[in-house]
Amino acid sequence: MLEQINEVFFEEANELLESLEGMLLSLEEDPEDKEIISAIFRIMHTIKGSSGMFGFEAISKFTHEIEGAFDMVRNGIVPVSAQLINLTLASRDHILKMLKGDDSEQMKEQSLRIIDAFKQLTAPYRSGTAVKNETKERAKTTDEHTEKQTTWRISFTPSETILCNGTRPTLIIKELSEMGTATVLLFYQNVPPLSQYDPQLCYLSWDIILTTTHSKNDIEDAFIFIDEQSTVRIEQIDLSLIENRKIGEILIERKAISKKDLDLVLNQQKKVGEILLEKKLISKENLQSALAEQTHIKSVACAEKANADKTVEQAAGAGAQQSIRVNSEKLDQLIDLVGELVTFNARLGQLSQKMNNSMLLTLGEQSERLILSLRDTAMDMRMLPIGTIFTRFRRLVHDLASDLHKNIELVTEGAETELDKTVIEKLNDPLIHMIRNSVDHGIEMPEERIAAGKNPQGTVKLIAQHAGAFVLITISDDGAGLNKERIYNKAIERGLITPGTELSDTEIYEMIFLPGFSTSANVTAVSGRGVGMDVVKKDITTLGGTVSIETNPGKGSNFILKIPLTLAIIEGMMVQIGNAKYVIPLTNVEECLEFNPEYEKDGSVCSHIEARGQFLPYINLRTYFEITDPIPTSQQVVIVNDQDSKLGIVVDHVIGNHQTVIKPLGTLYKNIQGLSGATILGDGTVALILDIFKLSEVIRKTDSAV
Amino acid sequence: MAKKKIETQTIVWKETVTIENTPEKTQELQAAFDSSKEVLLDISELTDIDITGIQLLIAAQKEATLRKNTFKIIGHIPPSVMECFQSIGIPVDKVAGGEQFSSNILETISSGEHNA
Repeated sequence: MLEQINEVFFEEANELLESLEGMLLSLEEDPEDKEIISAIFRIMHTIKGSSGMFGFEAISKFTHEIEGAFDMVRNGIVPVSAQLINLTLASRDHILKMLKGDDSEQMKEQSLRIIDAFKQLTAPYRSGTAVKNETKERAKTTDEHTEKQTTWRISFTPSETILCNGTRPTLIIKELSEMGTATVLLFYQNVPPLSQYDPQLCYLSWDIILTTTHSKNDIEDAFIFIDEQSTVRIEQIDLSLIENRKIGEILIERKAISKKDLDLVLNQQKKVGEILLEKKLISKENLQSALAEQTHIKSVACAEKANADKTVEQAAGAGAQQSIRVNSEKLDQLIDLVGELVTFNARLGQLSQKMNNSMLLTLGEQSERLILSLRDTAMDMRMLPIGTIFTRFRRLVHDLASDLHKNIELVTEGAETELDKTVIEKLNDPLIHMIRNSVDHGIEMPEERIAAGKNPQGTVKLIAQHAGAFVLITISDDGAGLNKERIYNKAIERGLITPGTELSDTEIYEMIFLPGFSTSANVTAVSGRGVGMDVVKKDITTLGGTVSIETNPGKGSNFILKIPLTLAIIEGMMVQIGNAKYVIPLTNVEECLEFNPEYEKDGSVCSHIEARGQFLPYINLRTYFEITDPIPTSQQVVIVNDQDSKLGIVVDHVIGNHQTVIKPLGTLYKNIQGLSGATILGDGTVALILDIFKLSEVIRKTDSAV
Repeated sequence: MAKKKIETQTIVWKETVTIENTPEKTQELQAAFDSSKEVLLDISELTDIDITGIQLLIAAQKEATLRKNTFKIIGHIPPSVMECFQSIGIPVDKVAGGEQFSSNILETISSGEHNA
């Protein structure tokens, strides 16, 4: 039990610290943002409170000091500085370590060091506690004015002649109503019958119950233009008493009756308002007004309570959407089960086709529809906004830039773009590599940038956007761009190409993805050891994605990652060769054509076909997979694209669309080129999923070999 | 009370009834009360009304109570007029659904004056 509670605390604290990091970095960009400062203070306060509650005294004590410092920041005593932010970031890391249970002497020393640093930072502003308190008080009252709502009772009795000088009481009432929640009570008992009515005079008077964040002064301002004979009474209604407010109490407070009168009638059984009315102690207007006030206060109290509940909820969610915490393993399990269901449904479909029973067919279709929407929902649950990892990179760039003495801003776009959880996890490392590269190699030193006529502050952009079944992630910098010659020379130096080899620009740039390739003149702690881009490429390829480079010397480079939305279930096109079935990811499929073998060179794996006036390379899978089953009379070719180019895949025949639940192939098949996984079909047999990118590579290799 | 020649008389208020023209509207209503047992007021074509106009309605209501006559407002109340009523605290929602701005709405006036 205790462990479970501790678990909750750890999770909460970790989450808070994570959002704290983001907030601190945002604060760096906008040091004036009061909301962020308050949010940081609140986080510190929460961590302090809950760590104390769970018996982590050291954390509680440490956080207390930071909270104190941020309290001063919040009250405008201590300004936000780069030093403060760096120190708080360090404390955040320190708390994280403490949470992990590190309580060595070293840690304790570090705690003291950080606390001392905070004390030093705030010391110049600590002088004169009186002043501090005063400011604090003032800040508090302003806070109350801007945040707290007050309910006022405004009694407005215009003079009879008010209309003659052009004042329009309606406008005043309207102005008041617009200040907040208002209940307007009209008193018209003074209006005479028509025979005595003077149309130039004003006979009406009002009570306005107003709940507003505005001050009494603001309310008085509304009455600035009325004449001297009109009367205005503004009284605050004590909301603390509202819980059990009886109509009689309101009437007493309004001086409509005395307490004695009220007590007298209270002994009777009828409703107090009715009795008072009967006894002529109050007018119907008085009662009506008081009743309205009661209603108004009740509704305001309700609204306030709902508001308070909402605030509590928001605080609990720490700005996140309403959510529940689910172990990600359970989600994976769910996806697995849905996958099984999809497979099962395929079997059902097959059976119903075979039996040709209309009832069974309908049921099969219905269950398919249900399962598909279940699949979509389950998939959707696994989707996370990519922004969750973007925050980490802000810290990375911040730290790297200060290590390298560069001035770099990280701009992120499309943080709300959603990707499968597993994809996001696997993207973390490649993105770190690429951002490091951009910061270290891409962006020049400030002096160089000034010399090149650029803004000394470099920008690294991280952009995510949807593109069909893919997400494009672009890491771009406005640095020097890739140096073509240096890459070329380096390639010769490393014996990757022979001098004089002619390569296209793209081919040269692609070289940076080769293992052990680094053009950086000196190895830094950050990057340049030649480990990285090849790993990036490998990681992205395993995700079924691609990396491409765009570079503009002197202006910067873009690295574009194209990542599939999900890994678990894909739409595929099923094809057959001999007795075996294969699945081609539908996102790669362009079209299917009849295969006309007259162009085929006998026995070769790859050659070219003509498709819509275009010559495309193709690969004959029958030959490639060495399938010896008899060749059917007619064959088909599926034209697929691998992002850069198109190619044909020759198969026996195309079966059609297939929901493919991807199952990994065992290690035994690790070295087989051209297969990315397998799927189980409705009849229990296995279909292999073709890896288009690998097949395209095979074609390119054979092409260059010819 | 003198015998009435006309049982019912309908008065139509168009465009605006504000402080500029309330004196004549008052007279018009007064004349109607003098000559009829039941006075109907059609305000469906009214676009603007101010405090004096609203007071006039209340005064007419009181007059009717006093004379034991009937005073009714008929026709759909235009939204702009409805807004005027609501903004100064007349609970129009009670009549918004009905076809008449009848005596019910201002009922409290008559009972109110006893205690005033």
